[in-house]
Amino acid sequence: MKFEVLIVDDDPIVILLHEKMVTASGSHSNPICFSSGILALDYILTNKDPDKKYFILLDINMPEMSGWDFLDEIIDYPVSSQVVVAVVTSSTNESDKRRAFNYKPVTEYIAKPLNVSILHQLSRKRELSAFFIHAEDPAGY
Amino acid sequence: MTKDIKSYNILVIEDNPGDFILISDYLEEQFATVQIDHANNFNEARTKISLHDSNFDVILLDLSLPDKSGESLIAEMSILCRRCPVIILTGFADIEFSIKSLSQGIADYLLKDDINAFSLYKSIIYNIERKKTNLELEESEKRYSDIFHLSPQPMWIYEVESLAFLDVNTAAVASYGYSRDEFLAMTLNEILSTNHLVDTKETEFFYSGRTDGSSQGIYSYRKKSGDMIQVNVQSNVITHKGKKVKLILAIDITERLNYIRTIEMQNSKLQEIAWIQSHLVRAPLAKMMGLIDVIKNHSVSDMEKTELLVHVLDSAHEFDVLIKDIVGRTEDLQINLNEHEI
Repeated sequence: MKFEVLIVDDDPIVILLHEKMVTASGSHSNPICFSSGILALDYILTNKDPDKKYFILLDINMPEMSGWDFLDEIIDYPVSSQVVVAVVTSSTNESDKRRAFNYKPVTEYIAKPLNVSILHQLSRKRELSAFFIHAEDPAGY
Repeated sequence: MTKDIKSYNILVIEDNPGDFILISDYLEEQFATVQIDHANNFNEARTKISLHDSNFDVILLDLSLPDKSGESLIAEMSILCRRCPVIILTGFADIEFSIKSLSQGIADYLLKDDINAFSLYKSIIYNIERKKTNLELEESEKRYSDIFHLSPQPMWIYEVESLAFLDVNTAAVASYGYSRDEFLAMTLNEILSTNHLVDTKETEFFYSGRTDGSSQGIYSYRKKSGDMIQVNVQSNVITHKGKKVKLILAIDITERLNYIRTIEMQNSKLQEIAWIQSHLVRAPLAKMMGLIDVIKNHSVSDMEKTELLVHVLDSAHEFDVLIKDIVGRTEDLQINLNEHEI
């Protein structure tokens, strides 16, 4: 089982921040960053490894392909069962929260700014704890 | 026979002295308190009637007076005595004419040769009562007519089958620009726009569970000037002189609809602003918080720290720009409100 953390946001400063936090929280050492949903989608679809699992920190307000567009796209593919999404957005609207959880891969809704303690909380959740260990497990999975 | 104790004021217009004495006797037989006034001819009668200002309870009239008779006498008497019943005392020869006179405003006729004290009395009492009832009915009809004609909102009546206007009130004339005569020469189609149904709730059977044929809807009507107005029409079906007609109350709601449209536009602009607030404004703020968190809690080199502080300032500026945009938009809304004077 390989676990990858992806960061999708159109703002390079946000990517910088999130990358720092993910690394600092003792989680995955190499989060992969994308400045658009198109690039992220492309990456996932071309990677045909059935053993891979993806944890995506997904922004909503992006040009060309919004977070909603990304989710609409990915659920049409079987690879979506390998995907876990945390929506990370500046919106605190209840309606946006409801909309996010309507997508099967979405398990979290985080209002920016992301920080280390939030990530620590997430790491303790069952479905996400696996992402917070190193990709190479000594036991040899 | 006990006399009627109520007091009465009776005018007898009779030129034959013998007939007059007979009639007075009959009256005094039946009425305990009666004031009998006598006129020998029409002119005398006219003077007395004008003087007493219709204080007479009843007027007994002989058809053949020296200075006026027949149809012209009846006509003049009808005009003079609006509130007082007039009973003709006539001979056999004039029966047909007497019957005709009933339709000209005369209350009753009695055959001189056939009357007696009681029959005279009975006729007088009956006709006084009937006149009273008729006057009340007239007043009631006038009141309803006033309600229609003096209503501040346009009202009209049109025949259901032909759509022809049967009557319009003053407010309708003022509102639509057509004179009453012009209206009465038109049908409803001439004021309806060709695309007239804006919104209709035909409520023939469902309006409060009534089956009275009332309905309500919003229609577009055209004034004489060509201007279109939106009208809230309430109608009721009534029978008027045997025909099925609709009574319409038509309230001009054009202004009101315009206000609603303006308010709806304002609302959607406000919603736009609210959306901007919740989605766009928070973004630079959240970024600032994230940057400050990193500077504070994570080990960063001095060069990194300087770079991060630059980003903090940029975000603050971004935030400022958004705030100014929102302020600008709300100021525009205020201008719009002022223009429409809501």
